[in-house]
Amino acid sequence: MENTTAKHVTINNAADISVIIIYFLVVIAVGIWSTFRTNRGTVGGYFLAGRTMVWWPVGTSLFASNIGSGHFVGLAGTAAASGIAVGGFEWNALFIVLLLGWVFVPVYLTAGVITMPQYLKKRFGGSRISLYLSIISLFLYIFTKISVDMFSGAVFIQQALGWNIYVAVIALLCITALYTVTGGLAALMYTDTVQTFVIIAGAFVLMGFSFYEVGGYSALLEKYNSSLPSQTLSLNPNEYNISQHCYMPREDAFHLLRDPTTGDLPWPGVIFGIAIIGSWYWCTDQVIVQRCLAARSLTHVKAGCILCGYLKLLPMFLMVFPGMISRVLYPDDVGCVEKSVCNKVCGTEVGCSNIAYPKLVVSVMPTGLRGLMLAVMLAALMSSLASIFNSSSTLFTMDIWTRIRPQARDKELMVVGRVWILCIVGISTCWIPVVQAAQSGQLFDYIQSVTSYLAPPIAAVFFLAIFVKRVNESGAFWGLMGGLVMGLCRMVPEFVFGSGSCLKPSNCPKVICGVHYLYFAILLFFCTAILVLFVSYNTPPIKDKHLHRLVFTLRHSTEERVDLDWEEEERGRKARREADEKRRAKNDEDQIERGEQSIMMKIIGWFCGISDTQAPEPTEEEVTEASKQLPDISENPLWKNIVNVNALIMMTVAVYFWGFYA
Amino acid sequence: MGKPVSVFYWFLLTLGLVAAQAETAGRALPNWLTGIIAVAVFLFLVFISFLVNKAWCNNPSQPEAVIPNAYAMTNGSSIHETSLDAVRSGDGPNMYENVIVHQTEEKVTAM
Repeated sequence: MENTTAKHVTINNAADISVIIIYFLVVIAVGIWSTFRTNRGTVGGYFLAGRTMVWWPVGTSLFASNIGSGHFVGLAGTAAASGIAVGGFEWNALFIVLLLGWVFVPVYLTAGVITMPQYLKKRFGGSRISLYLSIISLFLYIFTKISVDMFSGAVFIQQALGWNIYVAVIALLCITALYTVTGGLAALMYTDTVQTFVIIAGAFVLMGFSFYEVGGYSALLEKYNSSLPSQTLSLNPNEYNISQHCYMPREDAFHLLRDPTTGDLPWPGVIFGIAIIGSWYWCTDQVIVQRCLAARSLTHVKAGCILCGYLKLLPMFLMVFPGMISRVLYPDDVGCVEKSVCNKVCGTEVGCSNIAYPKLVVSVMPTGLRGLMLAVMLAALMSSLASIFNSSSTLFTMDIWTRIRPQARDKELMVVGRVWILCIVGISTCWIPVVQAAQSGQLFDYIQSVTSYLAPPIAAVFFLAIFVKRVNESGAFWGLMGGLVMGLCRMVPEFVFGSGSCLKPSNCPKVICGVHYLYFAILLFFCTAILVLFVSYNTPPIKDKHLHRLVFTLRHSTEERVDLDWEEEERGRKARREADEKRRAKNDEDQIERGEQSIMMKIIGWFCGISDTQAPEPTEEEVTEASKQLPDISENPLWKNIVNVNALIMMTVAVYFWGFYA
Repeated sequence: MGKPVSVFYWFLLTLGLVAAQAETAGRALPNWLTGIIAVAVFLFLVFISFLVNKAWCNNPSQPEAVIPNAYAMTNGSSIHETSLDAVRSGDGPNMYENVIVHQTEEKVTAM
């Protein structure tokens, strides 16, 4: 390896730069093309892409918004440290994504909602649950998804390019924000398709090169267990000693399912715990569900889910194995254990497994392809950030802004949504130094542990809301609150005491931190469920007339539904109508003065796709007429059977791989 | 019961640190065989659930015979039948047949 000594390799040759430029041109071209395909001026057009998407943009978009730069850095890093079990996080999603398409999306579609808090509002009534859900979702976006993606993007840029992190990340955020603001969901989903191709192609190339370098799959199996760093003795024996298990590769490194008590990822946790966290991520989270709601019909949703499932088979081969190869090839750097050595290699003391993937890119890839890998990382980073930006702006405008200003019309909502994206970009940028300071050993574990303390109550409430008619508002609310308190009881001590490292275990009392976080997720899920059911059965039920097409058993019901939130919607409509009239009266007065808008405003308006003319607010009769038109979830029986059979085939393939690596 | 004792019980419950199984890495079966076995078990379970579904849930010849009776009765009474048992589906205690479509047909024939 001629490059192992040189830490930073700047990309400055013609081949690399031209690859990156071509990549950007393609993305921008697709973004512009898709922008003109849909109407971006309305809520449905901007946030749901006009509900016209076919299956392949749905599937690839699900994949691209899921795979972020956090996967390349975190997944490969954890794999380098402890083997393939972390791939279970990816492969569990194969089944969960089918749950999304077959169980959850039909209900969301018939409910006719845009956001998840909106669904809970229709299902339970009241507004405290939806407010809580929108706030905790925004919180989770900022503190787990955005910050982790940006951190790992920064790690990559630092390792591979030696650029200034602030300049690079701010530039990336601006590019992402640009096409999120201008394009809306349709542009996002089409560019996501391109990004998926780039991610997969680039990662495949890297996988090929790294397997070639290590000498094939069987060589990896042989060499991984003997990949030890050369410096295993403490340079400062008075302060700490290094025990053997900190630098020895795990014996069960090539097993997905590990011992339930001593394993680092115990198998009941990998199967059931991850399924619970996964069902929050895939089935109840705005980012993912919004993509499905944009599809043309339920069959397209299901086909998209299957496509995404097949794509999710790849991360094991594209990221997990290369991460382990990186440790075999560079045991001194990636597998470092002595504090001062680690500090020299990657600037942190606890370990350098995070640099596994960037290290491979820098050392193994030839000129020209290094630019491709940069494009891959940018694609992963931009696609997942853009999805989160779009969805958080949907949440903010539809659930929080309409509460503050019920008279807001489409045009105002569009403007607010775009301004909110800029706010999020600002918050994320402020967050970089914090993320940099808190660099810890294993990134993937950090995301998963935070989500497993906060997400299971949400998953439990959604499951019960969809399957159990008896659950009512107070049950759901107190369940969520109880679950939040239980989760915080675990999360706060862990952050106060620190998660510790192998050399210096944290002194968090075992009673609190001893339970594995995946076990804790299972526990939390069932405690919340019991609490929800207990409170619900002690309070009056919700009548059936409010629940038609909102629960799974009543999804085909055609009876009229009396919405629990109709009062609030009615108030909003009235406020909008009044505002309309006021504006019209004012318009008549200063018709002459107004004349023309400034050219600048016109350009901005065209750029963002905000049209000036607006359809008048529907009257009372039009609203009742519209509510009679039921959302359609019927399927062509032939295509229904085809997607069902395909789902079965996909599950079989998935089960085979689980068995193969078990 | 003193506090130390209860703390000790918590330890026992949550940790299970005593498990000192030094698991050997050797595989009893080759990879591909475990995969095939897993697939076989999975397909078997799917087959069983398919059979169960066919046997219990929707038997397509039955509903024609049963449902018209039930609807004739519900239609006959001047008050709308609100008892859920009349329209309860065989699918499960919380599932109900879709009454609307059939009711309109029934009305035509009754007249």
